[in-house]
Order: sequence, then C-alpha cells, then structure tokens
Amino acid sequence: MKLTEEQLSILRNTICEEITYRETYDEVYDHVLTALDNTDDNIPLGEAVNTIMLNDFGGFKGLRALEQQRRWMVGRQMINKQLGYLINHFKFPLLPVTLIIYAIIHYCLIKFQFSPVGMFVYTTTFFMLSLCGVYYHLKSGYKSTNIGKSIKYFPLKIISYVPFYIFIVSFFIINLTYSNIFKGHNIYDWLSLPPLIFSLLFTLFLIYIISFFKLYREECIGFL
Amino acid sequence: MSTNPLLKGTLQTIVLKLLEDNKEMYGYEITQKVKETSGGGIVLTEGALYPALHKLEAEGLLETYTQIIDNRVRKYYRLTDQGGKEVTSKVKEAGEFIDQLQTLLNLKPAAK
Repeated sequence: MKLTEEQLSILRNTICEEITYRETYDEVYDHVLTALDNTDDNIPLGEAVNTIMLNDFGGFKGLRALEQQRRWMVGRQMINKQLGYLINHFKFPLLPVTLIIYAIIHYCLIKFQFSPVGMFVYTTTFFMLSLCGVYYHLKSGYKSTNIGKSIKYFPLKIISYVPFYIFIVSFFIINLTYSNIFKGHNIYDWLSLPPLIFSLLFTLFLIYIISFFKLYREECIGFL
Repeated sequence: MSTNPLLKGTLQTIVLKLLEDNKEMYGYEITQKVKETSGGGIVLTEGALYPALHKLEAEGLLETYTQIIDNRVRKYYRLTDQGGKEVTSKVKEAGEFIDQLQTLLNLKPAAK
C-alpha cells in the first residue's frame, strides 16, 4: 500500500498524538509505513493502521507503555554515565587533574579566606557555574521540533539542574544563618568543617559540572 | 510480549544471533526475519522487540545509526565489538539450556 501525502500527514498526526518522544516517533512511524508497504491495497488505511498498532505494539496503550519503559531506561543510563564520569575523576589518568583542581581551590580558600570580596567572588563563580547546566538544558529544549522532544531531555534536566539546586540550597542556608553573607563571617565555624573539606566540596561541585559537559557532548549534541 | 511466552528468556539471544548473521537490521526487518526463518511459528511483537533492542543498546552490546529512507528516519541496529563477543556465549548458554530442558522433559536421554 502506497500512501498519498495527505494520508502520510494524517498518519504522522495520529502517531504524534499518542507519543511524546522523537525517538519513539521515528521508530514507530518507520515501522508502520514499512508494514503498510506489505499490506493489501484493498484494506482501508485506518483499519490497516489500527491492525498494525494492535498486533505489533498492543495498541496505543502498549505504545505508551513502551515509551515509558524506554524513558526510564535512558534516564538510568544517562545518570549512570554521569556518575561514571564523576568517578573517573578519582582514578588514573584523571586523578592528577582532580588533585590540581583541589589544590587551586584550597589555595584560594586559604589565601582569600571569607572576606567580603572573596565571598562575592566565590558566590558569583558558584552561581555562574551552576547556571551552565540550566543554560544547556534550556538551549537543547529550544531545538525541539514539532515531532516532540528527545527522550534524553528529561534525564538531562535532572542531571543539569543538580548544581543549580545545590547552589540555591547552600545560598539560603548560609544566608539564613548569617543576615548577610558578604559581612565576612568565618563560615568554617558555622559548618564546623575544616577548610580541607570545604575545598573538597567545591572540587566535587566543579567536577560534577565538568562531567556534565562530557555527558552533554557525548549524549546530546546532535540529538536534542 | 511475543506470541510464544517461552521466547521471553531467549529473545536477546535471538536478536544478537540475527544481527551477527545479517550485520545490520531495523526493527521491522528483525520481526519478519524471525517469522520467515521459523516458518511463521514464532512471531515477535514490537512491544517485546523494541524494549529488548533498547536494553541491548543500553548495555553496549548493540549500536545504532539512522538513515533517511523515503523521507523517513530508519534506525539500524548492529553489534558492537562487545556484542560480537557476547553472541557466542549467549548461543552456547541457550543451547545448553535447551539440552537440559529436553532431558527434564524426557525428550532425550541425559548425555553421559
């Protein structure tokens, strides 16, 4: 059965109404058209499509279940990959790089302490870095077509917003404890943490963002 | 959700073996090949096939690429190096299981 442009458009719209993600759309649309190529011309199109959907996917309900299952699988895969990149920074050959980052951050913390200027610089850097993930997530959203977003969009959102949420939570906790963060109080006392641990937390934050960029480069460029 | 529930545990092995023999295939082609090879005795539904393909892809045993065919995107699956190594052991494992099953069901005497 060969379809006219009008029939193709109706088919595309029908599939788009039932599914959310582009990857599912591509696979289902190709599958249905290939199956229709092998279908008798005398069968009405609607009936033929419904039969294919029912027999091959368990109907539109089955299609949505398939999509949901895939969403979780892709989500787990991306989160595992992000954690993998993060862990790799604590193994060779990336361990020396991590140690250098740690040493630089620690030097800055010791050298400039938590003076008002220092706090302003730390907060701004922290904030700008945390916004990187949000920016890349929003940027990828704008590229979405009318077919639907990529299945990677949702897990990317979770991973990319983590630094931003960490920033917001830390900022408010510190601000609630001190009326003004820029007054220059020594927040070591507040957290009762030695500077070494503070440097470690900053390093982790930075490495998380570096790992996110690696993930974005590998998983998202060209897909989203 | 394949037609035969007994297929559930061997679906991945079937897919891997088919891809080893045919190098690269798309979803619909896989279902047709299974149907054709089994003389219509085994029918895979896409509701079972696609999750299996996606799982194998997530495990790094398959990789995909897309081609534009008649103005639509077609996704092809092929074995990765790791997948290629896995096929032999999966087929062997399935063969051993079938042998044990035959013995258990008294279809043939146990090998000595």
